[in-house]
Amino acid sequence: MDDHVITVLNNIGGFSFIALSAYLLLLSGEISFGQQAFYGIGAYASGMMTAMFGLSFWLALPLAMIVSGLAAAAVGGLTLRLRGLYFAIATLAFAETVRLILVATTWQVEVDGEPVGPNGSEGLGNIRWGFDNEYEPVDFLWMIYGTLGIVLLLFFLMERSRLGSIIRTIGADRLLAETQGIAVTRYKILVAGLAGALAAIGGAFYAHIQTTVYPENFDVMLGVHSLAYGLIGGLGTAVGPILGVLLDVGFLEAVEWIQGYRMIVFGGLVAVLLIFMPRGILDERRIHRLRTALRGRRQARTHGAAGA
Amino acid sequence: MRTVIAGMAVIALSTGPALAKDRAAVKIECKETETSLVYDCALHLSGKKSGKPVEGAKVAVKPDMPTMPGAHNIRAVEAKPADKPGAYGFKMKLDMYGIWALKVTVTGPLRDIVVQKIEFRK
Repeated sequence: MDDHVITVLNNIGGFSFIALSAYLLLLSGEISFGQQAFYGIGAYASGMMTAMFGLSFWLALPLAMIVSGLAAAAVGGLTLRLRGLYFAIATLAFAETVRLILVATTWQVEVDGEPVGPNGSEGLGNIRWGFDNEYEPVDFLWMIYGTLGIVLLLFFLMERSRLGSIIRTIGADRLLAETQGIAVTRYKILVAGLAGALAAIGGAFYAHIQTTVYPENFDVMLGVHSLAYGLIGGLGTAVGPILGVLLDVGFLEAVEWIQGYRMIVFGGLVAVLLIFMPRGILDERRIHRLRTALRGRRQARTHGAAGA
Repeated sequence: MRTVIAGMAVIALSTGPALAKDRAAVKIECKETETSLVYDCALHLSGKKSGKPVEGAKVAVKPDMPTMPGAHNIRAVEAKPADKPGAYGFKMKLDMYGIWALKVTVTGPLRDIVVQKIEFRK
């Protein structure tokens, strides 16, 4: 496969994690402009563990998820009283704080005679686990899509479970959820933590493919895109945000010729789409219709077979 | 449980960083051509410890914009050997002005990966 195609596919896969992270929060009724912070925490934490302390990526990944998940749960706990726009602004403020902390942080250790570790605005370099172990971009492709497959499977199971119903109920009407005896506070913190851990997976892969990450990688642009993925692709299914990533990255690739103006055109298209499809392409109604049609076809086939 | 912990320890320690070998020192200088956003770049490659110029290496350069990670999927370009030892040259077309991170992958007599942040102005 062409290296360029692999890079694009790796980007789509990597962004899918942060898209699913923002989607999970959207399901619970919260709009976050700050998921890039947890993507960044995942990138830095995993990168530091492999580059500075020689851990394997496969151990650094779950540890980075735990670090990021705990940070996200803490933010979720602190912002429990905030709703709507206030919550969105608080998440954005947190993300900017994380970015500025990364700019101000310098902590380096010597590895093979080289200083390794976060170096302020110069970022965290020498994340060479993939390079040193001769992992090619195509190997990361399998790693990313394998992990994404597992995450999607967990999403499908969750959406059919009691937890999924609770999250959607909280998202639809928090007061109604409370009157039904749901411990909204506990579930909100749980969702925030899970969303943080999810974003960290994307960040960890990004850091190990790029080998160097900078604080500015995790600025508001990434946060806006991660939110837009779910809103474009649709909130009816976990496939929605991934469709959003596909359309975004695919669109940017297709209109390469308009260069620096691509983002402006993309922003306009998103605005138009949201006017006509406020809950995205694969919204709850379309997914329900699709499921009903598929169930009807399956039942007709079963009856047909029984009749014969 | 003991087996799981032992397994995790093996995974954790088995794929640590490679032993010290000479690393690449890369210097890049770019000049905009008459066509806007098209740059002619000179790359100097040497051994970090030895300080000697590295010849006969395969050098690939891939630009990415740190503030827009993954948004500009610009293809990697190959840097060709120039007239002096350790000198390589490449031409690249960027999407916009600003700070770019150039990821330089070196294979051949020296194997390394180096990322440099450079500001490209009008």
